[in-house]
Amino acid sequence: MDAVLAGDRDAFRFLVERESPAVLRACHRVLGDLHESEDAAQEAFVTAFRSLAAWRGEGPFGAWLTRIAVRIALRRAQRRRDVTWIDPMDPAAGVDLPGGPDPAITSLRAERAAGVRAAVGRLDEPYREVVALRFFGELSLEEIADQTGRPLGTVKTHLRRGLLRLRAAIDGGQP
Amino acid sequence: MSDGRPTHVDDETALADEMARELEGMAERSQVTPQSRFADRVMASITREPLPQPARAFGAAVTARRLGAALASIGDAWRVAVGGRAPLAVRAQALALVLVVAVASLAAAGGAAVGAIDLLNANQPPRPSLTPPQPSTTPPSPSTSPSPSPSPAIEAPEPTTEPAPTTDGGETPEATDNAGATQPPPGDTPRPTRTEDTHGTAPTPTATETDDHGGGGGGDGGSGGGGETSQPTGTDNHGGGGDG
Repeated sequence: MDAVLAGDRDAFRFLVERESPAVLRACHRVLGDLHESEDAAQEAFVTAFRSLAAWRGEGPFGAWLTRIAVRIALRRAQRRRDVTWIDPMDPAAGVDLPGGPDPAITSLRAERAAGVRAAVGRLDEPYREVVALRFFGELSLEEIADQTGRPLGTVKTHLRRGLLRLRAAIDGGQP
Repeated sequence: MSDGRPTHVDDETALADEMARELEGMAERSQVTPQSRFADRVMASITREPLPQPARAFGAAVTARRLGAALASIGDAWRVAVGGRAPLAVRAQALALVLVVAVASLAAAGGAAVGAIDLLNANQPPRPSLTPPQPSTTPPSPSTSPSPSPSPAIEAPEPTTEPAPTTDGGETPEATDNAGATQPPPGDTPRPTRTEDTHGTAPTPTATETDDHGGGGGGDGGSGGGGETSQPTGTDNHGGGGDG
């Protein structure tokens, strides 16, 4: 980190190679599309590079980067059209079902996942951020508390209320 | 619950846990890995970005004596300051660096310009500042001794050029002055007496008149000999005043 701040751009490559799997996974869980997730992850790395001087070192760098990536992915998810793309080769589409990729189950599961992602994107703040960081960014409650600057008890409360609101939104949106 | 369903703590907990399990299942199924070219793609974008902290990069470059990196960091500082995408504190820091470098550059350029002008002026043979004083000193002498010594006063400078012959009679360059001063035989020092031998002629009376002027001039010039032998050096004092 010090090398990057001192002007060594190539030192940032180490951080990219170390954090890119987690960042890309977080973006993919929010967006559901691999190419768009890569774009979002790239934007997250560039944003982190610009804001590197503002990083206060509170918590791990990966958690800070994941929060940036989740925010970017949620913003992209809100902007794009409400269309569900089902890619049989996409690992998130349910190709790991026992017995091989059943097109019907794949379609149902992908549709369900798209509905959940859309419902998370429609949650109000701060519930949306807490739910996304916990389940899409794979951050612990303590890391979320550190990154958001909220007490741990508040984070737990937000997560619980967010899950309940999410459940209500999914059940209410289904026919 | 916001949807009006019966809400019990256990029910809410069960619903929240169920939702959490579903989200965790989604996350487990979403195990993507970045392509091999992903890091190159990100680094290509990073290369086009200014440094995150140009002021610190500038300091590091200066410490390492890397001029190119220092200049690049100044350029990055400008881009960060006017870009508007970096945090406010970083932008302020970058703007401060740009201003400091600009002021330092202007100061260095100004100092170099002044030095060059001084150097050019020093190389010029006639210094205008030295010549003016001479005319300024000469006028008083004619004004003080207008009537008697117009011609001697004018002649005085010439004798100074001619003193060579006078030096023949006398010994030192002072004798040449005395040549002009020889006119004032009433002088005190022995030099006038010698000069009397050499130049003791009619102009002596006129020299005495000029002596008065010489007294004044000698006082101004502060030249030792001129002060005492003000009479002889009256004409000299014109020159002496000029020297002074």
